Amino acid sequence: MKAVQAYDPATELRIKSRDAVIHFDEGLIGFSECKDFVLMENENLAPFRLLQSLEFPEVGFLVIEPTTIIANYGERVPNRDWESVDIHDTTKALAFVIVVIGSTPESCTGNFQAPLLVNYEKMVGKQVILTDSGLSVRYPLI
Amino acid sequence: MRISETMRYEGVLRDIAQAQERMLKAQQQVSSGKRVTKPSDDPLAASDILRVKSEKSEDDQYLRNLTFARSKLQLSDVVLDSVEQMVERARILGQSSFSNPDQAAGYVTELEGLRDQIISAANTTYAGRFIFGGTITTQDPYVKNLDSSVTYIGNSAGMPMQISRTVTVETQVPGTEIFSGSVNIFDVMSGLVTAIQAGDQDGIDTQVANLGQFAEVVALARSKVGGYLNHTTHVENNLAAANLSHETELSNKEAADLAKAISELTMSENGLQAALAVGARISQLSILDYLR
Repeated sequence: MKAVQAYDPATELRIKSRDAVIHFDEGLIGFSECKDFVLMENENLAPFRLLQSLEFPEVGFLVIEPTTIIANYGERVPNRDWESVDIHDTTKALAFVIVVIGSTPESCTGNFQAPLLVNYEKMVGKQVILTDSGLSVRYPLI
Repeated sequence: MRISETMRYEGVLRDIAQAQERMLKAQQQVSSGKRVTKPSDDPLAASDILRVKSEKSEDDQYLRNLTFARSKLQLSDVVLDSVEQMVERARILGQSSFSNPDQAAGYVTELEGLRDQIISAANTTYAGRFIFGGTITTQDPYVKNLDSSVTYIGNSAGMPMQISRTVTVETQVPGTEIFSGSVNIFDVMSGLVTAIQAGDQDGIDTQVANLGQFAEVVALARSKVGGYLNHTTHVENNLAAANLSHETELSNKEAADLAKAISELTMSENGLQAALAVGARISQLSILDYLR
């Protein structure tokens, strides 16, 4: 396992806090081996953040909080999905969607159908699939 | 010179295009450099993406099979439902023929009409193929002869169809399990007509009882069809879930690859993330910003 520095001078990315490892028990979909991630951010990258795998340094995802695009996104996630990361009070809920960068701003999309739900008190997360949300795997960010 | 929003946007697009170009180079370097030998060690392996894509297109084919199977089964159910109603009508006619001998002629005509309707129901086609003839699907399975007897020229085979990698479902019930099974409905209907014409009360009793038995045969066939239909619904739910999961898996792979390249590029001064950030900021401007 490659040690990830709290601040990487080369990329100017820093980890938001210590103890910032988010554990995904099932990994991400298609990445079942990648269970531990850290969120990294800097001013230039905002509003995106980098979700970096600790097991596989070559695996990282650009993520964005879906509420920046769809304000009431949290309500679109069924309670049973929140409960899968032990969140029973959705005011404490945190979700990310994985972003795919396109060749034009208009073609940048986020997978709003399969958010990463994070319980930041327990630092556990899970990628769930919203079956009835009507939201796309490639939902345009703009 | 006044710089319009469009011009600023074009500048951003150019930045992104340049960044993409560098990103492509970075990706090529990365991919030609360190590659792990064991596929399972490499979560980004292209072979993995190909596998998911091929599974997805296989599933699409299964879904088409499933839709076909279901429509065919639903048609079978509708046809058998109408056969049940016709048989019930025939039973009522047979029973009332005891008390209304003067109407025998009218009953006979109606029963002969019902018999012809059951023959055409037994010769139903879906997508141009007969559905009650077993694997003989290109000619009428039930042929009405000159003496008005009916011959079955189909067989008793099923027509299973693969609707997922592991599941096949039966798509039809052969006529030998319905119309010409333990009770031959065409013989019963002819027998009933003959008995009414002859005023043979025992004969009428026997055929009315046979109609009751045939109704049970049809009910059993319908419950089979219903079971096959339930099976397709169950598999369809699984296929839909697998499809969503595959879509996200592909999307994750795509996103992971790109993020890798971006993290390489964050080192460069004019990196993609800067272009993106500006792009994001511009895109957040709306008409409302100009109305302040």
